[in-house]
Amino acid sequence: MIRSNIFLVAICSILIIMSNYLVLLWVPTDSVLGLSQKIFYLHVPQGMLGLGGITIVMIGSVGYLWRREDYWDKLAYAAAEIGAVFITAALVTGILWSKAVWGVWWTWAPQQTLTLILWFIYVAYLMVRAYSPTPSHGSRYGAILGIIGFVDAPIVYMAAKWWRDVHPEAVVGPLSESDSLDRSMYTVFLVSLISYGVLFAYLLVERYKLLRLNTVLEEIRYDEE
Amino acid sequence: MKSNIRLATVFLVVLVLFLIGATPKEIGQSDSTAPWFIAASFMTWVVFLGYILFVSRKQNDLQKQIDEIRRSAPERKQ
Repeated sequence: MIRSNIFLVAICSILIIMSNYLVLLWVPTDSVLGLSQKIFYLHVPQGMLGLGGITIVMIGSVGYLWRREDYWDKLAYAAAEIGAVFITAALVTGILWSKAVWGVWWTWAPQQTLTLILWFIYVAYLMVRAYSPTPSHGSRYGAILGIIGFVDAPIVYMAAKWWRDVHPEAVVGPLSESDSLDRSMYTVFLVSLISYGVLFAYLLVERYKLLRLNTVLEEIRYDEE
Repeated sequence: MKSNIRLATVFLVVLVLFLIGATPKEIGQSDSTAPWFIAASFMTWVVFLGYILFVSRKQNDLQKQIDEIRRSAPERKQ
């Protein structure tokens, strides 16, 4: 397990260094937005993986309610925490980008606001898990919240198309037009997305391991009693 | 996890050195938005490394507790 993690850390670090090299030195700087446009390579992958996190939470929650197996519950819990970290990073980089381009920290654009709502959903999920009367209650309530919370994810993605505002429309993914992003920019974006994806996977594995350790500790204590 | 943290730290140092080496070239173009990009990169790593540190500490704490209970269990039985 440790060996595979070192492998993940090594791949992740190499990809992050490579994507930083590409972002800083290889990809051309936007003539209108300047260097601030390069925040795109941080902000968009973070946001996409934040949405991916709530999708895993939903899958884990459905799996747990259906099968009642601990594995699904732990997967959902771990994904919720990692997703919250990624959405926090996306919000922070988004705020900084907003100030650089539009001169304001926050615009209440629909996509921005819905992403903030997603962050609150993650926080609510983690609070339910932490403060439920018993762990089994936490698992059940969390699973229900995880499934309901997932509804926000497709709305966040569609928001820029449904409600036109200052926030730009999607330039990657199924909603984007085929020539909306320069080829070199698209390549760097993909490298960045993959590096953040590997980081997401690594953190998910570590958080899952932590939850398992917690269960082992509880079992030992129960046996002792 | 500890060895992973060490490995991640080494890569981070390389990354920081790399960023320090690469940044003046970009800032040299007198781009007023450069500080925002640097701030975004910095904040990203504060968030992620902070979280990695949190998980690593919790893992070590739990492992220590498990080891301690396992060590003391045979003594209590006697």
